[in-house]
Parts: sequence; structure tokens; C-alpha cells
Amino acid sequence: MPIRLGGRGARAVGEVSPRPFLGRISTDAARCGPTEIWLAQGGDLPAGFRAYLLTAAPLTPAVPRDSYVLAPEFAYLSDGDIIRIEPARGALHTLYRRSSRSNSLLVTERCNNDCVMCSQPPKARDDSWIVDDLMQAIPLMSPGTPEIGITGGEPTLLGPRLVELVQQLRDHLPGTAVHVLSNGRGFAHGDLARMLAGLRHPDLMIGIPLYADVPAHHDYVVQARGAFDETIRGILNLKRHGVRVELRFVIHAETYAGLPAFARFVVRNLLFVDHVALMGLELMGFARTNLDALWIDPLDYQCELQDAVETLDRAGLRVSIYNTPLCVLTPTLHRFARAAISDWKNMYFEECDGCALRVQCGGFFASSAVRRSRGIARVASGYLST
Amino acid sequence: MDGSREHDGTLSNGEIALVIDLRSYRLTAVKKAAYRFADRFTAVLGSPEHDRIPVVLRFAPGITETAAQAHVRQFFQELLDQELREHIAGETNAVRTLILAHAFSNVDLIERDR
Amino acid sequence: MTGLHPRFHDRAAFAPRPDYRLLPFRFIRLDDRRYVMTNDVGEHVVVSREQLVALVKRELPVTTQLYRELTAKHLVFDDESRAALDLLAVKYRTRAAAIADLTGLHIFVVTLRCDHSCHYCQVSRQTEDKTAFDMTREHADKALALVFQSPNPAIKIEFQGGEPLLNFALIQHIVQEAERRNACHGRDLQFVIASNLTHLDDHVLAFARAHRVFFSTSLDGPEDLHNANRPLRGGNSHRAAVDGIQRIREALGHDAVAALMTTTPASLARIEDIIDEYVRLGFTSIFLRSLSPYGFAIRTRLVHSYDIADWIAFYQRGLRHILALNRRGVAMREELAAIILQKMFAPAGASYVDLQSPAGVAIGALVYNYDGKIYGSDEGRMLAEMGDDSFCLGSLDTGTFASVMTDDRLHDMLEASLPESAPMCSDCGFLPWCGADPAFHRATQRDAVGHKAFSAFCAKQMAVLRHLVTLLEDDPEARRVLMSWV
Repeated sequence: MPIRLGGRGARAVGEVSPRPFLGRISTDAARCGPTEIWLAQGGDLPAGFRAYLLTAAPLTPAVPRDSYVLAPEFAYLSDGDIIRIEPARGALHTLYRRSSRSNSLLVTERCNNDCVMCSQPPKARDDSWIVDDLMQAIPLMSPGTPEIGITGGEPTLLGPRLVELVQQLRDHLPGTAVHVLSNGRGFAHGDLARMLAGLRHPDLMIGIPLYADVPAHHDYVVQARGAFDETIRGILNLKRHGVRVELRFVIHAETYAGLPAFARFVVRNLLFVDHVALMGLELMGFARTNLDALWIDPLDYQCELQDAVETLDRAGLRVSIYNTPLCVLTPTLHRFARAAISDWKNMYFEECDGCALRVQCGGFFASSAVRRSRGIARVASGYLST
Repeated sequence: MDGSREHDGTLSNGEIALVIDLRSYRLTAVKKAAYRFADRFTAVLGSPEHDRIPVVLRFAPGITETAAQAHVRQFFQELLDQELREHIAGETNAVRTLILAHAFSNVDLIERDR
Repeated sequence: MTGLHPRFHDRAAFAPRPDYRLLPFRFIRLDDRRYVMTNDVGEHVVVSREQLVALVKRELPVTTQLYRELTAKHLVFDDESRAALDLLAVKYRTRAAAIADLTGLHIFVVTLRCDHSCHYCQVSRQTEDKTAFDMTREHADKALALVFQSPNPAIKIEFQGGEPLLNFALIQHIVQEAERRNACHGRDLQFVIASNLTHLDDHVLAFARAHRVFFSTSLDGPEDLHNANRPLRGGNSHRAAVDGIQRIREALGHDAVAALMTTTPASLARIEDIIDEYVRLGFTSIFLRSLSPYGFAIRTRLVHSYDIADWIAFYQRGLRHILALNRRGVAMREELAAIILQKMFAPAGASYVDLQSPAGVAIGALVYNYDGKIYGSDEGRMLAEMGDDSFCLGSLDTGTFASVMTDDRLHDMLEASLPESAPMCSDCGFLPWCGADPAFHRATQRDAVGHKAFSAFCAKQMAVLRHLVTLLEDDPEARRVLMSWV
């Protein structure tokens, strides 16, 4: 079930801090301190915590400073999660959930591309405080965290601060894979690729969208003239310095026809990349703004998709198909499909109940109800996946 | 070269005499096309004069007029191609040098084990 | 289609600049109406003459599909987008990288003795005198020292003859000694015995299994054709090969044996039978080769008895049959086409030593002859048997890997073998997919470069390349099969 990561979920009770702060949820009275937020499960409120989250309004007004009543939609919070509270607005934002496999850190909302299908439309404002927060939050994360994503906006707009952030992750979470979503342009010039490589992070991957084999088409999709060149140079620079790179291609009405040529281009020019992800469209942000122009039923691009996957796979590249439920995917492509939708925005339709492929299927984005593929259907048991 | 010879392009004594306009085809193109056709005839190039060069094509004994004329037609097509090649090479040689310099000054992109 | 929200720009805002520039490319006529354009790294586009001329005259509209293709294949660029130059440099380097590995294939001619008397044989001797035509253990040891001086991380040692199994004791010694040396070198080491399999026995098989030795054998087609080509005193060569293939597969696995065919005048009418014989025996690939102009073949004038045009017709028929088999679900690929397709579509090109630029001479393969002489290619030692020692690069008695690699004769040969500097080749549109065969031209024209207008090698390459490009362009079904061979 999709969950809510932010909103007016913390109603202040009594006296509160003047400024926003972040902390880690604790249900262990012994683990107190200035970075810990007590999550009450009834009973007394132990002393020594930065703040207190109550599940119901207190019977007495005598509560510690920074006590808040938690809205029911945040009941999923549990020990080890990291949240940010804005007392003045009564807002609460979940930065990190210890039990989730898909923790993503949004590091800025600024971007130098303006992709026609962007699910997280950019905002041009100074948001450098976000990194300050994240630098504090990272040491509080569980060392057992399997993977952390870094997203935006465009993370490379942080410049050297991006390198600091990855260094912080390396130092505090050495066993955690780090996946950065970037348009790659920031790695085209200067030292950023070299500095990032210099961290020698044990498990770092930069995911970079590339939408065509020629500048004109890529630049159109990302709405920035000259972007193709910078992205290509960025990819070359990263690989030159030994940083792993994943190519990402979002399939929609303006890109699907170019899939076969894109695949041939990658095989010929960028065979040294580490992974290629071909991704279904998430109907959020600009994708919804441009819905009529961008929507194509996945059933109607299976030929192009199959051609591209075949080209990439035969050349020995690792290929994955993301965000496309198995029922709309040509059976020969099932082995390339990965369940990759972040848990907090993942859902299944009514048809999925009792579907033979449910267990291995990635399901849908919460936004998928906006436009449904004609192919969505329950697959009867006895179906043999090839 | 015999100055009085008719350059009418007909086969005579196993030879066809031509005059090629060097404003249409540069000399290198003429030479390269002639080399490429060495299995069909030997082209004897005269001295260029006023942008024109006399060329005698010597065929193997026993060639028919029809076969010889077919070779001449192909030769002129080849001249066009060769002229185009010279043009392209002249235009792109600097870029080729640039690419090669770039190719061998960069660090290896592809790891050994791939 | 519905347009984007007005805050976005339409495609026209991102159209390429009209003042495009040409990247280095070559072209060649494909047929009456079309040309093949290739760039230096082997990417290609097929165009009409009008399109080619329009492109060069700057009259090609940048909004056309053709312009997009030319951009993607790096035949044009504009000053606003120069990523093509970076990518071309990387591709150029990738293709050149294999050359820096130097010699990977090392051929040991352990004996010239043979029990067959094949008409086309280039080198073998029928003699009872063991000492005259066998390689000595001392030479073998010196050759091994040289093998491991090559920096190539993958080393393949191939035993040839004559019939190498007639000197099996030396093969055993070389394999064991190579393994001992490799314990500290850690190369990817492979062994292959090129044999007619008449002397294959349990002893040989047990050794091959213990040391992961593979086999390659001659198979010229059905029994009658094979035996006519390959007479065996008091025996049946075809039966020996077929039995041997089965025994090797049982003992070592299906893929432990490969087969190679030689084309003779008798083969020309039988191509379908030959291919079907390969299918019948469970092979999934066949190399349709032309007769090489060396040794016994040239002495018996066999090489002149069929014209290159006959071979081309033979090749095209063979390929047609193979494509038809594939359409029926029978997996079979033709190796010459596969090598060329690899050069056309794979970033690193192909590593086949006989079709390289520069030629694979010494830097691709080294041959250690039975008499201790070192040659830069198998054809080089065959030329030597004809009395032309121009490909000899020294002797195992004095030679080292460094002395062979720095030999002036080798450098002259390599330089001469670069098609980029050879007349006709240098502006041929097929150059990136072709190679040089200096030994062939030495044998046929007494000159390692040769005049390509008279070269059967060139005629054959041109015909095969034109045929393959035409299939790729005009026959979608054939294209699917061919692309699966890359």
C-alpha cells in the first residue's frame, strides 16, 4: 500500500522549538539523547528525548517541551526511522524508514533539465538547507540499510557538497549501496567526476537518463539544448574515472519509437556502461501535465521494446525493465522485468488479486489509475513464464 | 602524345582516346580511377594543358567496341566517385587527425576484464 | 498527437543546425542505385547517389530521417554538438586496443609427416624418416619460452602438421610444460590439435580430457566428396573423421571438436550437401573458405581450376541454404559472414587473424615450424615451403619475442599491410570491414601489398561484402538471422 511521507502530521501540544529539527524515532527509553524522538506507546514519557510523538491527545497538559500528536497516516513510523518536524506548521516529513528497501534522499529540487515527463518538477529556489539536514541524518541511519538513493532535482547542482554527502554515506554506512539519479551534465566539465571517484565508494552507481541516439531528440525530451553533449561527456568522464554508470530510458509517446536506435547506439558507443534500465512512465508531475501528449499504452510499444532489449542483451549488457506490470509485457521480456517501484508509492489493482504472476510482478505506481493499459488482466494459474 | 589524334572516343587499334577536363576532375581523381580500372584497360595519361588532360585507354586485344564503351562509361562514373572522394577527404582530414589524437591521448575506458 | 503544455518547447526548437559538417567517411558503390558509406570505425549507412551528393553539397535537410541516421552513426556533426568526436575517439581506441595485446595464437608445427595425400595440401610429407620432419624437444622448449613472453592475457596453442598426432609425445611434453610455466603466469591458456583424427586413440583422449585439449578436424562434406579430396592410404578418411568426432564428443563434450572445410572444384556443385553433412553431424557453424594459393594446391594448378566468380556463386548459394535452414529452426552460422558482421556491428571488431588491419602477421599469430624457424603466419610457412622465405622472422635458436616483434622485416610487412596506405584500399568504403592478406598477395603477385584490381582476395571480399550488405538492406528475415551471429 502507498504511504504518505510528508504532511501536517504533527500537532503541537504545549511549548515547541522555534525552528525545524530532525531526529530518529526511538522506542527504547535507554536510547535517549538530543537526536532521539520518543514514540509513545502509552504509559509515561521518559525524560531525555529531543521530542515526543503521542498517538493520542494527552489527558493532562503537563507534557515535555516538543510534544506532538501524530496523525494516524503516520502510524507506520517505527524505531530507527528518521523524521523532520516543522513545529510552526505542524508538519512532519519522513526522511528515512529503517524497514524500507527504497530510501531515497531528495537533495535539491533545482534542475538544469526540464524533462517533459518529470515526475518531480523542479523548483528554482535555494534549498541548500536540505543537504545540511541530510548530513545530520546519515549518521543516524542503520548500518544495515541495503540501499540509499540520492535524487532531485539534479544532485550535481550541489557541486562539491554532493561529494561530501556521498563521503558521509561511505563513512557511516560502508555496507550500503548508493544510487545517484543524475542527468550527468554536471560530470561533463571540471572535477566532479574525479572527486566522486576519489572517494572509492565500495558500491556506488550513477543512474543517468539518455533518451535518444542523436542530440536533437534527447534535447527535446529534456527541454535543454546542448544537454545530450554534456550528458554523453559526463558518462564518459565517470567511466574514465571508474565510476559505475547506469543508463535510464523512460518510455513514452515521444521516445518509444527511438528505442531500437537508442539500443544500437548504446551497444556501439557506450558498451562499457554497467546497466541499462528501460522504464515505464510514472504518471506524476509533468507526465500528468502532458498526459495526452505522452501517454502510450505499453501494449503498443512491445515491438520496439523487444527489439531494444534483444540488441542490448545480445551485446552482453545488463538490461532491466522497470515499472511495467508483467501482464502487459511480452512473455519473452518477463525475465528482464524487475520490481523496482518504491514501496511507498507501489500499488496493485483489483485484477492483481489471485493473479498467477502477482508474486514476481512489480505492480503499479500509485498514480497508474490515471491511465490504464488495455492489457491489465489477471493471469490465470498454470501460466508458464518463459 | 600525338597531337593530331582525334579524341572522338571511338575504339581504334584497341585504344580509345579521351580528353578530361581537370576543372571537373582533379588529376589525383583521374589517376586513382585509372589505377582502379587497371584490370580492364591501361590508361596512358598525357601532359595536362589548359585544364585539360589527354588520356588514352589501351584495351586487351580483341575487345569489342561495345565492351570498350561500357568500360569507358563506368570509368567516367568512377571519375565522379573519385572526385567526390577527394573532396570529402580534403574536407575531413583535419577532423580525422583530431579524432586520432584524442583517441590515443585518453585513458582506457574499458576495463580489461570486459 | 496532442501537443505539450505551452510552457514546453516543441521539437523544432531543438532541431540541428543546418550548417552541418562531415566526419571522415569513405564510400563504395553497392549496386546500380546505392552506395555504402562507412566511417573509420565501421559504422555504415546505405544511400542513393543523389543523397550522397546532396549530403556533400550541404543540401540534405537536417530534419530528415536520413540526417538523423547519419548523425547517430557518426558520419556528420555540427559545431553545437561535438560529442561525436569524443565517441569516435573512444571507438577508434577500442578497435585498436586488441592490437596492443600482441600475439594470442601460437602454432606449433610438431611434424610435417602425414598419412593423407590430399590434393590441396600445402605442406605435408609422406615419409618414414621421423627425424627429418619432426620438431625437436629443444625447439619446443624455446618456442614455449617465447610464447610466454607475449603480453596477451589469452594464449591459444595450436598443434598443426602434417598430422600432429604422429608426434603425440611432443604434444604431451608441450602441454605439460606450458601448464607448468603458466602456473606463475596465470594466462587464459587453451590447446587445440588440428588433426585428421586417424590416430585418435584412448590414450590421446585421456590426455586431452586431463588437460582440456580441444580438437579441430577437416571435414570436406559427404563421404564421397571428402574421400575424393582427402585420399588415405588403405583407409577411409571420412569414416575416421566422423568416428573421431563422435569419440571426442563422448569423451570431452559436444563442443570439444570443430570442423573445417576446404573448397575444391568438386565442392562447387555440392554446397548444399556439404552444409547438410555439417548439420547431420551436429555442427552449428561452417566456414565457407576459398582455396588458398599455396603449396601442393598451386603446384597442381588446382588453385586456377575454378574461377573466383565460381567461388562467389558457391558462397552465395551456401549462405542462402544456411539462411533457409535457420528459418526452419536449424541453428547454423557461416563463419566468414559472422566475422564480417562482427566487424560491421561489434565495437571491438573481430579478432580473426587472417582479416586484420594491420595484418595479423606475428602480432596476431606466430608459427613455430618443425625445423625451428619462426613465421608470422601459417601462410608464411607455406610460402616458405614453396621457396619464398620472406615471412620468416628468425629462428628459435636465437629468437626472442622481443627480437621477433622488433624485426625490421615484420615492421615493413605490417606497414605495407595497412589498407589505409594501400592504393585502392585507402579510399574503399569497405576498408573498416576488410583486412590485409600480405601472404596471399605475395604468393599471387610477388608483392605483399598487391594491385587490388588484379587481386582475387579483393574480388572475393567485395563480392561477399556487397552480398551481405544487400541482404541486410533488402531482406528483413535474412537480416534477423545475420544479426544473431554478431
